[in-house]
Amino acid sequence: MDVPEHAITNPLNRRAFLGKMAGGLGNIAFGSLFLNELSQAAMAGDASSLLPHFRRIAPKAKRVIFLFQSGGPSHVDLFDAKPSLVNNHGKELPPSVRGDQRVTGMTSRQKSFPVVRPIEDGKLCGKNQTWISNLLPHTQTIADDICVVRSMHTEAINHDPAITFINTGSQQLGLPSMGAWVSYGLGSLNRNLPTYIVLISQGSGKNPGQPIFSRLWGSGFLPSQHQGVMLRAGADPVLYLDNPPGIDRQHRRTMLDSLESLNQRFADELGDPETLARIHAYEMAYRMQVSVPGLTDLSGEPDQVFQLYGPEARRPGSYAANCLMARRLAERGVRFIQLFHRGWDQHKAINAQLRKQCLDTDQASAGLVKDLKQRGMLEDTLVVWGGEFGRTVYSQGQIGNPNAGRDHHGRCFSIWLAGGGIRGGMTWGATDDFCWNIVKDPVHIRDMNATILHQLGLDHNQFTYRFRGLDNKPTGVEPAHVVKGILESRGDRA
Amino acid sequence: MLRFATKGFVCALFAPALLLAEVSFNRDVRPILSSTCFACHGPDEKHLSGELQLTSLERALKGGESGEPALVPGDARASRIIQRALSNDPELVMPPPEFHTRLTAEQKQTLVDWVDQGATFEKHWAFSAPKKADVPPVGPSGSENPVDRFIEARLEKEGLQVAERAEFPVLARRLHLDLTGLPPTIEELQLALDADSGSVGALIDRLLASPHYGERMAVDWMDASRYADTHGYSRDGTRHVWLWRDWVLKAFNDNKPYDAFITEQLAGDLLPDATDDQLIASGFNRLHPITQEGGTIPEENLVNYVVDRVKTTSEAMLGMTMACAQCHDHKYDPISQKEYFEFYAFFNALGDKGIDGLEGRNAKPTHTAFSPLRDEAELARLRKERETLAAELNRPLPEAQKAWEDAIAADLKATAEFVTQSLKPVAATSPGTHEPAVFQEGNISRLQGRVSPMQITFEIPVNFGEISGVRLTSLPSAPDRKPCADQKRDFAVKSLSASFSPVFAPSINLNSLERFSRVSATSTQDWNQPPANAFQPTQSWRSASVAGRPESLTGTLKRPVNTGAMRFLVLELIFGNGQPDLIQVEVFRGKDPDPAHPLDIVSAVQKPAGERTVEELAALQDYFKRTSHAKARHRHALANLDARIHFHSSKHETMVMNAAEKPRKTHILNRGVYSDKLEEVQPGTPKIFPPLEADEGTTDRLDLARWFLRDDHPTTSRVAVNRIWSLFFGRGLSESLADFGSQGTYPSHPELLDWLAVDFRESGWDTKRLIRMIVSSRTYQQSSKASPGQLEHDPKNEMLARGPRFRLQAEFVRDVFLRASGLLNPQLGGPSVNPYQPGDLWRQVSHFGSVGDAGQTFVQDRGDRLYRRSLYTFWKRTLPPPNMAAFDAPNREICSIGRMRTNTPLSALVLLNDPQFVEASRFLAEQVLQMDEPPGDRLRFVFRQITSTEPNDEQLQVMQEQLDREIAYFARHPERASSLTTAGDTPVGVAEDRLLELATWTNTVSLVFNLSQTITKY
Repeated sequence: MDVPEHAITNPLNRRAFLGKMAGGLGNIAFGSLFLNELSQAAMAGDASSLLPHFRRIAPKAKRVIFLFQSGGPSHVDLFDAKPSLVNNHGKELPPSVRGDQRVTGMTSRQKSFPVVRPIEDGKLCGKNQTWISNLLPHTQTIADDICVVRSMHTEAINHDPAITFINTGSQQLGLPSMGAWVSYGLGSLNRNLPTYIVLISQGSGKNPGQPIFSRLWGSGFLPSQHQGVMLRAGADPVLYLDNPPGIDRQHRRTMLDSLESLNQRFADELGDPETLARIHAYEMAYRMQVSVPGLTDLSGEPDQVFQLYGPEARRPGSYAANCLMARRLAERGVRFIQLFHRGWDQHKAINAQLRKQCLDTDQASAGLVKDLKQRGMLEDTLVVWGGEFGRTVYSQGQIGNPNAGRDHHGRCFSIWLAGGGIRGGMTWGATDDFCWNIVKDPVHIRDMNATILHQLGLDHNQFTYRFRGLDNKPTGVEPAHVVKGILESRGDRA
Repeated sequence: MLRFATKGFVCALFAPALLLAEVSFNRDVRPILSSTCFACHGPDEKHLSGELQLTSLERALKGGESGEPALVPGDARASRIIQRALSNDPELVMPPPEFHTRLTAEQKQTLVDWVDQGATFEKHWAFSAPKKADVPPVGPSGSENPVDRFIEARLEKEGLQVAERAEFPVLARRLHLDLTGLPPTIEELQLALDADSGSVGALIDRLLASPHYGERMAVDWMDASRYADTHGYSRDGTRHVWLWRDWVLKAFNDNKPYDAFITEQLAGDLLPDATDDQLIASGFNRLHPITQEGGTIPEENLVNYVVDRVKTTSEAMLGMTMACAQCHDHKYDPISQKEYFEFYAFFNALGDKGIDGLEGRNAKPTHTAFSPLRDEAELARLRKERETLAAELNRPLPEAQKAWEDAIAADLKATAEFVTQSLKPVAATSPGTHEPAVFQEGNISRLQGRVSPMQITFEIPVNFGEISGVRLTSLPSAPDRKPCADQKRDFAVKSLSASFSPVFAPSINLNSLERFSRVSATSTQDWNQPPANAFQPTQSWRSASVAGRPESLTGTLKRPVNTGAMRFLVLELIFGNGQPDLIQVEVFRGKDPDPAHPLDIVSAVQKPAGERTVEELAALQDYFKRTSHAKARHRHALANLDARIHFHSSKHETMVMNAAEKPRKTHILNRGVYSDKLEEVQPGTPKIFPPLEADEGTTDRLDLARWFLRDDHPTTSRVAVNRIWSLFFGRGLSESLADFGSQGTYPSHPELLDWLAVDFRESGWDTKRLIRMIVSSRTYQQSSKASPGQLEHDPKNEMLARGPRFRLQAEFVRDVFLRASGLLNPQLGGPSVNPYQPGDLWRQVSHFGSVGDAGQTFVQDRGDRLYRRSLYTFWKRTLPPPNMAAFDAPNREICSIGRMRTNTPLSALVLLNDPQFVEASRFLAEQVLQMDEPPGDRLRFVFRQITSTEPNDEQLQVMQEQLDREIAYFARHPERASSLTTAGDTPVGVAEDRLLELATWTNTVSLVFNLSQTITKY
């Protein structure tokens, strides 16, 4: 995606660039094509000495597909149900359980907090007998491939801070997103597409859902070439991709050739490596004009693929189509692919809304995992499914009213992971009888982020970027721990 | 893994100190201690490891819990910290392995040398007040400018020389770009040569006096001040604080002394008899994001706001990052958590609210005033212009109007088939209710509960054929039904959007919304005539049919849709002022028979011209003026002009600071958590700085401003001159523009930085004088050519043995295109504008329909508002203008000082394909077409106009060859000429028969616009 300041077409600059790499690694932006060229060049000699110190963990995953469910999916209904919820249905949530947990301004004035059982039954699935709601019948079929973490937690209880926290490692504004960190740390695997791509879909349960923001895929204080690039389902999938009307590709080539010859002259005359970098940028732009339409053209996908992802996959811009697109992006070497599916904020009418959100996403999420597995790509692709927090076990609004829902709950929630060296067919962590507090193996969102980085071969403790005098880590200042218990060990895969 | 502690290496480290260069504590040692030792042995008294503190010689000699001194000055070998640093025993080595930081060989050597040389500690350079060192003697260049004398003295030490002066056109362009953010036009270059006789000094004076100087300077301060036109956070609705931007612009243009510049922004509201302008200035600390998210806890939000004020003030004015001390004593700098909250207390005394700014309003406190840039002369001129323009708009265009009337009449007469097909609703959703619609017989949907916004999906019969349009009908309520509270007799369709899908779709596709060419509505009352674009989100159609008769809104699609391909229709309906009870949706093929115009117009156009009444004639003329394409340009121009008149003639509201009657108390917050209050604190400043002197009574922001401006304040003036220096050289004398703490970068020229800092203060904080001194220097005026040797030894140009060179920032890239093409609208100040953006990106992420906040959907401006300078572009925090984000523009959610400069394919795509930039090429090409000169001269003109330099033969040849290819290309594809030249809003200004020529030149101009040198200051 990005072209570093010191391009390497000019042998002199290539030398200077390599010299810098060997000298002070800390100051170089690693998220670059050139690092890969460099590593290839270095393979002949001593490659490992050129790898930065934060990349000395053997990577299990080459890429991440983050299926972000924006708004706060209900863990109570989808992944964490238990008989006690049915037994306590309608009864007041015991104050001893509720403890000092703060609640949002939306229910803090409620007089009662009655427990509501899951809106749908579920099944014990797979060899591990993991409970998964019947709202997610397709997810039930991949139970042996996924690890359900039921003990996620966050301090944030409102959308903006919570979604910023999980995506950037801090509730404060201004930090780089995880995808940007990964782009910076690992660089690109391809020459024709951005390193970090974002796809957005609207949920049908609640539309419009809670707003999202470009900061969630922003580069913060990292160089801006690491920010996520939005891929849209439309005529111009990447902004400004198409030539102006009337200019065809061949003709554009002639203009770029003229441009290159003029720019090369300017660079030579002034000794300007930045202009060389710019020549590269134009060339990659030209390549993207072919690679992106090739990427978004689904006509070559056979029917059975659409059957796997579901009928919605034929609808451009849907979550299912984006899941299919995610696989195509993964095949083409995009490092970090992030879907944002909006509408999981079921304060109201959870019975109606949650079903629709599940319909939007269930088959395609499971289809993606199956598809990757069939293609042998699940091993080195880490798939993550989850939102910014969970929802309260108690009813928001009068219990029984079809317009009642659940409020935000950050003290525990569930996500699942698949592939990329994560053990399938397991659950991790446990909550109490009310899905309110964690009773076993808590996983803070920064632990999860540390784990994702770890699978990519990035040591979150060593992986820093100095900004405003501080060596910033993607997981922030508080200590974070890799969740070792969910990692595949050598013997796991026969 | 790096392991240096081999025996031989350790020996080498203890080489005789005589051979080694002198170590400077502040330059060489402090950065090492700070980044590797201070986390456990630094200023944070509460979290010392082993009780050892390495912040002074005294403390180091005292040692830690062992009681032994940590170092022995003059004897590194005997010093415990050196032994520990060099140890290869994982139990002993410092920093410990689990700390994840290692000392490099070079750093170890530095520590050894430092101790051997006596282990002197110095106060951190930035915490001592700057002093003027003697200015070095005049260097080889002969320049007496103090900047040059400091720079040359250093160059001499390094064995380097000042480079030759840049050629005049290059230098003139550099100065124009640096002082106004705009490139010189050919005329301006000529003026510089003629009027100023090539005198750089005269040129500098003229540019500093240009009103565009203030615009150029304002942009960087807007970044630092996190200026934006929306509130930020999740809903990110509109706010109106551009008066503050106007104030900044004017402050720079008037050369307001920097002391007043910061005093008025920090405490303008507290000044005695504060003027309107001073109140506006105080808005500086209200520009932070403010949330409207329901359910958030106001008290927590208020803490976030104050934290932001501290962050911004400390980074932009103090040059320190205090943020760390919000949760604990600062690890690197001597700022305690208590001191943090004392500083915080200054900004916690206003009467703001935790959740405010709903529905596109400002968050209180606010103030209403005239713009500081209000200009009576411009107002008078505009009013005159308005008369002319209004006359022009009113001027009858008999031919055009006749053609327009005929078209309406023909449309009414046309009797094509009209076949409707009512559609079966299959799904409906609305975020506020579980079942927004009940589907009844006859494909009727009964709406229930509050359904706005609502999405409803319809199935289209397979064999209907080509769909020409969509009709929404509201039906009378059943007689036995009492309208519920939300179902008033009147309702408005505030927005209706449609998309088709080949498969069932539960929600609308925002990426392929249908566009409508014709909209009609039935109506029983004359006020609910359909606006021409009722299907646009800002327009609405009102109906009165709940208990009356069916009424319809009908839209004809711009491009018909084939039923074979599209099986489902999704409508998004947003109602205002109530909602209908029963609705039915149909598609139709053929032609909509309902008139697309008000009834009086319909009846008038159907009469022969001679039989129309006076009233009818007037109505027709008026309607022609208000809606016809022929009058569109003048209409937009007049609307823009009226807005501009309103800007000058009216007062406007902006957000300001105030002092609450009952100010909130400030407590230290344990770990920074809003609800975990410790002891109460009073306003104060960190002890490392000179003391705060407060008047009798309460200590407030005015005292703080005075504290900043003390003669002995160590950072205020350094931060300011360093930031200003960086505008021209691309980097500061210290690279840390916002962080002068112990983690900051030691300056490349500390004496020069200090000299300039003191001189700046002594000059009465005269910004223009400082800038004049910088840009008048030989150092600044050097050629920026870099030799291979220079690139290798000084790639960042720290020594300044060559002139500055870097890519322009986002705003100025766009401004270069606007100015060089001649499209630029040079108006100063006023509300923000919305130039081109692809699609409606805002709606993809926003809460459009669900909340009434403005700024949820993008509506593009028309006419000359598309060509304002880029600093006036509407800044939506959650989705900043994409063509500027591609050039590293920050999102303005937080204080941001110093931008990155990356080169990405996305930025290349912007320059090549964004209509704004294509239009600029076309507009300049039109001027080429006006020329009589031969092609060679025309090419020369284009090159000079855009790059300010004369092309050489080789460049000319490349351009000529490209022009030839363009001619051949459009000769092969003549039909493509008109596609290319229609980019943008400005009508094509050449005759139809010259479109081919225009297209060839448009692309040739685009080539020159895309040159690296066009967007590089060099």
